Formats: sequence, C-alpha cells, structure tokens
Amino acid sequence: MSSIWSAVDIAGTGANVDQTWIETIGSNIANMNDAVTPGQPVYQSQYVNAGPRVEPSGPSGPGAAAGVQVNAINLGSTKGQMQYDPTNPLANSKGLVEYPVVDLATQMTNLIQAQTSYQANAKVMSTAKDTYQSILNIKA
Amino acid sequence: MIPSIPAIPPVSAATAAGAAQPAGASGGLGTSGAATPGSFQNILGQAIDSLNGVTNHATNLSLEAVAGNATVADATVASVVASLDTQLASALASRAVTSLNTIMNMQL
Repeated sequence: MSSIWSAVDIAGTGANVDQTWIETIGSNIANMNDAVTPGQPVYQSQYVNAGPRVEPSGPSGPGAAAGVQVNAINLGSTKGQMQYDPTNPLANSKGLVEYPVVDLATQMTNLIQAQTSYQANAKVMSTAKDTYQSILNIKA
Repeated sequence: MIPSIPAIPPVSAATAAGAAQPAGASGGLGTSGAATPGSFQNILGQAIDSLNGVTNHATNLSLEAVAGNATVADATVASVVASLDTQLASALASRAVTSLNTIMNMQL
C-alpha cells in the first residue's frame, strides 16, 4: 500500500509490528505457569522477528523502503524447567513437573519497550498528519 | 462573439468512473469540446472517484477493527489518509473555482 501520505502508512506498519510484539508478550506471560508432565510438549516462548518492509517495485524505483514488517514469530526452547512437586497430579514418577522458561522480568521490560515504541509510532503518525495539513492550509 | 458557457453537468457515478462522456460537453469552453483525458473535468471526476474509494476503505476498516478483524492502527491510518485526501481534494477544488472566478471577473 503506497500513497502520497506515505509517512502515515509507515508509522502504521510500525504500530502493527508493535501490536504483534505486545501480543506475543501477553501470550508468554499468560502461559508462563503452564505445567505439563515431563516429556509432554511444553509452551515455547514467542519472539517477534521484525525487519524492514520493502515495496516490490514502483515508480519511485525498485524496492523503496515502506516501513517495517513481522518476518516470523520465533519460538524459544522446547525444554522447560523442572520443579519437584510430587503432590501435583501432573507429576511424573520422580515427582517432577515441567514449566516453560519465561522470565517475567524480561517480559515486563520488553512490554514497556513495546508500549513506548507503539506510542512513538502513534506520535509519528500524528505529526505526519499535522505536517501534511500545514501544507494544505496554505492560503494563496 | 463569446459563446455562452453551458451549464455544468452533475457528476454522476458513470461520469466519475470515466465510462461515459458528459452530456453537455459538446460546444464547451475548449476548441475540441469533448472531455479529453487530461481535462479538468476528467481529472476532477477521477479524483472524486478515488476519494470515494479511499473513504469507503476507511469506513470498512473501521468496522473491521470494531469487529476485531483488523488492527486499530490500520483503521487509524486509513482514517487519517481519508481525511487528508478529502482536505486535499477540497483545497484543490476551491483553488480551481477561485481561478475560474478570476477569469470570469475579467472586464472584456
């Protein structure tokens, strides 16, 4: 999507990536206490792999920069951390339960970073709109 | 003698889409008369058509965002772009009308 208001579009792609980022953090935090019996698949923490979005081709030349995009959602370790809890109904014969490896402090730090980035993109969008309007308001 | 200027035809959907020539085009201001692809009339029609599409897109994205099928950022971008497009079309149209009024007010 390309238009003469490209600055607004680019800020929108940034906000979309940040929303995906916040969603993955929310998923990680929501699943950090998912206990499973050792040997069963444990929740893998999600990481956003973002990169520059490139226009396929156009009048402005081949491959003009057009914001940012989510390339992939990378997954963390398949190995969880073991905890000794024999009273847990999910415990195996050795009394171990497996939990996903999610560091809450790291997730909270990333969450604040994602929120700041989203706000920055929203500010770019707002400023770009004001800038375009300033040239539309010129009275000849 | 200066020929009388015909009434401006209303912009119908067919005219905006560029599918049909307007009825009052023959004997217009220019020497050729018909609405050529580069004429102001055609450009204005296409601009209104494009503006209509942009505004509809913004409305649809807003509804999709409310329904949860689109992101808020996408809806906001579409809304801002539609607003800016409307203001640009309005500015250009009023500037064109000002130019026409300037010419019409010339004392010949």
